[in-house]
Amino acid sequence: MYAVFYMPDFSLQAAMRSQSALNGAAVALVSDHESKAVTLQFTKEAANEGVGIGLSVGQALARCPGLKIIYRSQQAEEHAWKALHSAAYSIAPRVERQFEDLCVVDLRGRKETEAIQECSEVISGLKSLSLVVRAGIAETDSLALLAAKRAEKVTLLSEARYEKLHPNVVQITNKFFLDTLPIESVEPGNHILEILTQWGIRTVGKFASLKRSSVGNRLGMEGLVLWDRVKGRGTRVIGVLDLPLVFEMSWEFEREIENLEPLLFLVRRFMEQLCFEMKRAHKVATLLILDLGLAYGEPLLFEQKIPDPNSNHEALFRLLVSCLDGVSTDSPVDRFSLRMDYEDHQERQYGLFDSSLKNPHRFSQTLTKLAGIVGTERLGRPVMRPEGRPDGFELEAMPQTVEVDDGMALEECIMKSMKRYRPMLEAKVELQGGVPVWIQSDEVSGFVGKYSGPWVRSGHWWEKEGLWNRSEWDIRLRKGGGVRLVKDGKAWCIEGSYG
Amino acid sequence: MSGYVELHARSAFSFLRGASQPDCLASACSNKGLEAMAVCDRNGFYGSARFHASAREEGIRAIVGCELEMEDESVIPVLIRTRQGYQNISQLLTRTHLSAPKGEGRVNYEDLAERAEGLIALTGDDEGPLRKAWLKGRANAVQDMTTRLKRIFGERNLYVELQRHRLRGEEVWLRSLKDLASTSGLSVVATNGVDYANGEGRAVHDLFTCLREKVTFDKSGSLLSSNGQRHVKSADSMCRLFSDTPCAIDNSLRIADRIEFTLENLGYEFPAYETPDGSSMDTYLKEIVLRGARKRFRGKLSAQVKRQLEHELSVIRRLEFSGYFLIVWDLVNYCRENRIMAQGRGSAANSVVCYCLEITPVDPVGAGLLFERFLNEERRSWPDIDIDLPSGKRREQVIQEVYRRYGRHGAAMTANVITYRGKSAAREVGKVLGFPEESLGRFSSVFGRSHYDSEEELEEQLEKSGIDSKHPRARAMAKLYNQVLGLPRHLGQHSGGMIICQGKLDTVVPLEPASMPGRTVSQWDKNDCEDLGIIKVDLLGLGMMAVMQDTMEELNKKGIDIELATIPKDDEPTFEMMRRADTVGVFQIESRAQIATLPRMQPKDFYDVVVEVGVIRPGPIQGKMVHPYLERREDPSKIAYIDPRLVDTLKRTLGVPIFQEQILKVAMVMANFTGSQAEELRRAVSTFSSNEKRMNRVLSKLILAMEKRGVSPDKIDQVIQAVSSFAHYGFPESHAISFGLLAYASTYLKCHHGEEFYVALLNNQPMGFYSPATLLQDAKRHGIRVKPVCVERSQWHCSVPEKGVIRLGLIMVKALKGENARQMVGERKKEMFYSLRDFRRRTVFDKDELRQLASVGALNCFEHNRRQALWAVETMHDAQDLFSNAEEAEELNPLEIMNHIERLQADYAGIGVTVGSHPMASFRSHLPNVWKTSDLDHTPNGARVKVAGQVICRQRPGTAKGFVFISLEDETGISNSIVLPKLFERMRLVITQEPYLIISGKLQNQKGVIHVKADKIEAIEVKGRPASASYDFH
Repeated sequence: MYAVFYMPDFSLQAAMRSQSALNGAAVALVSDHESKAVTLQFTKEAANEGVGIGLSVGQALARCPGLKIIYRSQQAEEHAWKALHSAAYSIAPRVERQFEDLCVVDLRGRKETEAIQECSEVISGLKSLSLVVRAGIAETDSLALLAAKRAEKVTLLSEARYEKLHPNVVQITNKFFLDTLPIESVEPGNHILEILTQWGIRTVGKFASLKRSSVGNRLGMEGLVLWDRVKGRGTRVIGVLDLPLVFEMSWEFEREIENLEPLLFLVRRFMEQLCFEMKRAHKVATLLILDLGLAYGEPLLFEQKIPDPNSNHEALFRLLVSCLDGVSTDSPVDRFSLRMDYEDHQERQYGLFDSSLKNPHRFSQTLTKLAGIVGTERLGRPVMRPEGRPDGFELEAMPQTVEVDDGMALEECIMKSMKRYRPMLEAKVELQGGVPVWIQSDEVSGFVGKYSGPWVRSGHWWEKEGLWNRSEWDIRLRKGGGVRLVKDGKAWCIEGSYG
Repeated sequence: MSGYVELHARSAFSFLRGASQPDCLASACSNKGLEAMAVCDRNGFYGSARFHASAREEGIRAIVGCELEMEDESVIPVLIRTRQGYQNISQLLTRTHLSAPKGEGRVNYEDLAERAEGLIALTGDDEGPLRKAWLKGRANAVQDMTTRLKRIFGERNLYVELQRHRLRGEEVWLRSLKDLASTSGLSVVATNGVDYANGEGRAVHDLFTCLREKVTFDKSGSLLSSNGQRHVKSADSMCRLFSDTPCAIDNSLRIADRIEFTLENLGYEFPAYETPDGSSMDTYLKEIVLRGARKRFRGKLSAQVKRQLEHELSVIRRLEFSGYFLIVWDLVNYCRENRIMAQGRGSAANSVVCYCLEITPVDPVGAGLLFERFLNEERRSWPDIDIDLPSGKRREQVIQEVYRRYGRHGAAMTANVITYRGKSAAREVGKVLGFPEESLGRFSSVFGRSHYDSEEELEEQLEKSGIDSKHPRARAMAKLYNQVLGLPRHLGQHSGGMIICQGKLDTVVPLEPASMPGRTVSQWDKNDCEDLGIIKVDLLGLGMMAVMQDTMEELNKKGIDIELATIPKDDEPTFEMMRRADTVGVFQIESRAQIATLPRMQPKDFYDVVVEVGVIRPGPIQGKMVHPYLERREDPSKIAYIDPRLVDTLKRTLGVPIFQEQILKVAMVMANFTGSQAEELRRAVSTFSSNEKRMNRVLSKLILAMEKRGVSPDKIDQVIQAVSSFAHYGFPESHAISFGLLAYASTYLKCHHGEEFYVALLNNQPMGFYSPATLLQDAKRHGIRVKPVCVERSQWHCSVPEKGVIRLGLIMVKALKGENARQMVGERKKEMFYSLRDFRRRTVFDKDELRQLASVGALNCFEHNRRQALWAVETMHDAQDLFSNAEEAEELNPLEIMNHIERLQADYAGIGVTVGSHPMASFRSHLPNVWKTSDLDHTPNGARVKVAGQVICRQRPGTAKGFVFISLEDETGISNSIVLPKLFERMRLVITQEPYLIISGKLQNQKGVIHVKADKIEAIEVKGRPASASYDFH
């Protein structure tokens, strides 16, 4: 006998659990895609207001103005999963996580009535943790899965009749269950579904009543696999869930420390060991987390992303040290933990991607220091906006590698140097025949000697906000000196002076 | 000439590059005081004809040019100096277009060198060869290219092009160009690289850039223009701009002076006809006309006919059009010899010569038609004969015969300019502006309008689609939408217009491959061709002619001798059928509007049918002519005339102008217009949609002329209203007669040979106003039994196995391959199939096809029911299996038999029709208090009724001021309902999206016309009941 525990709307439940005052509200979980977040899961209250899958946030709010928007939380999901896992594990030792939102428990070896009873207690227990879980119990894992997905609470599929079951448990025969289960629930391929629809086969029961040979003869291997699945053919060995790899070490000092040296010494030791273990596991570190517990006050946490994941203890140690450069605490340190996040080690072909950086790690260190001073949002590489808007630039993230520069194109080198005024100087201009003849501003004034222009540019005309439109003149004053005169809309300004 | 000439402009016919119509460019030139301009469209002369016509009206000179897209991706603008140069380029472009997939042809330098005589070339702008060479950065690349161009064109015919658009940095390039010109011995010329007529065009130009590059505005980056300087500039502006290089401006005038060529001297000649006896074309034409006249008039030519014949032949002779008539006659003969129905229509039906040549079916003398409408000595333009042919293979055969006779470069289809309109325009503009796909989709599906009267109206409709009117881009959307409407999008081919030429057509206009294989298309549409005196013949396909030909051929096979010419024109049962409005499936008079008019019209003779065909058109409807005419028919005391001088012209239509000729005659009588002025009016009216200005100009002349003659203001208003309304298209009387003949004949066939007629309709789908499902229901209501598709009995086509019975053909089964079905029929002819296994063994249908056949019941001859057949066909069948012939014990079918709804679903999914009862029959018991359509006949006017049915038609005619007409079909017939605009707006989604409706309202049952004036509309819960496609919003 098998039990399947299924948590519907897993991500939504997990995220809601970690926030207060959401029970009974219309809530929608959206993807965290930057450009277009769409609804993934939502509560019944939101569904009643017309919220559906795949709506943009705007659309969802348009249908349900009071809708609360929340995002996926991996940590919350991990916590939720851990709760489910440990609860399932308490029933039987053979637990397998099949998908992120369900697990299968092999109940063989347990007394059936007891196991059924415990399953319903598990459901109740998880409900007290604000987790709604459904369970299906059946002779085979596939039937149990079907029962769990369609059930309200605990559905027991069995030909045998059990007495005195928990009120949560609904007992039905296999035949009845399958006869009412829509064929779409077993997710046949589109082609098979089309044929079954033409045959008038609308329920799993009807499909299961066909002879296997007939199914195989007509629907081929795909049909046979489907048939075997709904009939629950064959038993399955449930593997044991592996414990996740954790690279973490912690230390509690006997005496509180007041300077870095002893800390750094131990950090270096821990780094050596963890890197050794990591290498054994063919993993590389992606993030360093140092948690400093203080004798008094809140612990200090330092996180350092590793731009070039590796398991080189020297490099990682230096990176971590640069985080601590200049740090001081009000209280001595009495404990710390060091944890590394990791990923699989991959072989690299060196030389395939050239970089002009001599030392990428030092580059990363420098960036880290700068980010610490100015903030990460002010750190980046400026690039001109392509549409030619005056002074239009944006910051893009610093690349991991810097391309080799093959030099500027000839055209780009022909430029005059200009000292820019920021902000531009307001100017008064007199015109004659549409041409400036005299300009006056706080810093520059005089009669116009020579001029070139006007140079006319405009853009973003399709929207009032962002629309720009200017004329530029290069002016040489009679008394000497050159300026760039700009008319932006109706106002005249001097943008800069030429050297 | 003084000042400046713009020598490099692109019109909107440089698709997705230029942003202004040619006439707007001409108008801008005139406004800016320029005396000439060269329109150089990309890879052709697409806009040249229109620019030529507009320039003539504006009093400016149209210089012909084009941009050649070269093999190295550069673009060279060339100006046509002589006719030789034009012919060279036209042939070069033809060769380029025909040698590559559509749109991918590039000119190579060797070919250009061979055909450079008669051309003046400019070095181009940013896309020009010099600039491209410069950007490559190789040393001497620019010099090498200059040398190459000099070798091709010659020093005297190559000019270095200078453009200034007020962009910082362009002076560097300009200085290089001037230096280059100086060292190479070339002259410079200034142009502005015009892409639009005025500053507002820049927005459309940017839109087109985004559409061409498939990006939104936000992601366009540097693709868009930096400013809006590429508009038509005055001579003063250009002089100021090039004040440092005045010779560049002067050279524009020098170049213009050197240009000899205009489109007036294209050198077009209509092909000569080789007479069999060597006599002149005039003599031979007269001979065959007289022969035909004896046949047509049965040897008894009246004096009037003789006079008319003499007159027409002499006009034809003087205008030197004999060859044209002989060629068309020869083509019609070819149709006759190949048993292809052919009937001339249009103004040709006004000619007794055409009647005697058996090109047209109507005696114009007897019908009192005006020959001058067809040919007029005053206006020297070509005659225009349209030939209606059965659509499909037969018409294609005739078209290919024309190609065979004149060669691939001697004949071509005329173009059809596809323009931005309605929903598609809104969608494309919206996409570029970055509006969400969902909103644009909603806008497209919910709003079917083709245009909006104001930007505010469009903004309102956008708001209803989820785009807030305060959205920062809503205004831009509305503005751009209106600017882009009517601009050319791409070139298609006209369905039937063909032009032919003595010698090579590709020396007159460049030809391109059409999307249909085996066809070429010219770069000009029929109006352009007409303006330039290029003669065309329209070979139009009519589905109904194919239906009629099939019907008559079938009857002939059964020994019934019938052809179009022998159908009696006074058959009372046929008129009775029309009076009952029992006209579903027949030609022209089956639409909802026609069915609503027929009971009032009560046609009694052939001319009534002609009027019926002519009166339900936007022209008479817009001109408010329909009801006055019908009222006068019912009560002759109401007959009145705008003016006593119009009695002769209008007495046949009871004082109401219905036909185009009448409008022209009214203008001639009331304003004393000459024949050619009336013809100008006709042309302006017929091209209103593409040239509103032309129409307005002619109307002003008409008003002025009537005022001069002292016509009273109210009569002037009436005349102007009548004339303006014909801008929305009314029929020429001759056209209405030709169509009336087909309408009458098709009704006759339906009346007397219904089975064969319906079968022909089904075999020639898609066509007509109604779906095959509705046609079949109509057939059943006429007592015809419809038998389903059966592999043992059905042919490929639908057929009539016995009187009163139709057998659906395999052609109806969706996704069934024709060659597989024909193979099956062939096998069956050898020996009938004795089992499904035998059937599978001997046919080549794949699993999907077998499934489809089983699903629609076509295999019920082998198995007891559809499910059993579906069960059986799904077994793996291996043709190589040695044991496959052995009779094995059949497995019992475990599947349930299909119920009625499932059979309906399978029928509609598989063949689009059902031979069973109408879906509404299964609803009936759930719809108490709902009238059947057949009950409405006996329900008094004003009664409150409720009707229900499947929606088969939703119409919102442009002339109906927002009213919507809905046709519902139930098991007893078709009911029609009228929905007021406000109700429609409130119930828009229900009306447009639901397949089954219940409509409640007051019944209008007057003079045989029955409508429900809707005040409540509900959807019917359908639960799996299928519906056939409906005809919406045309």
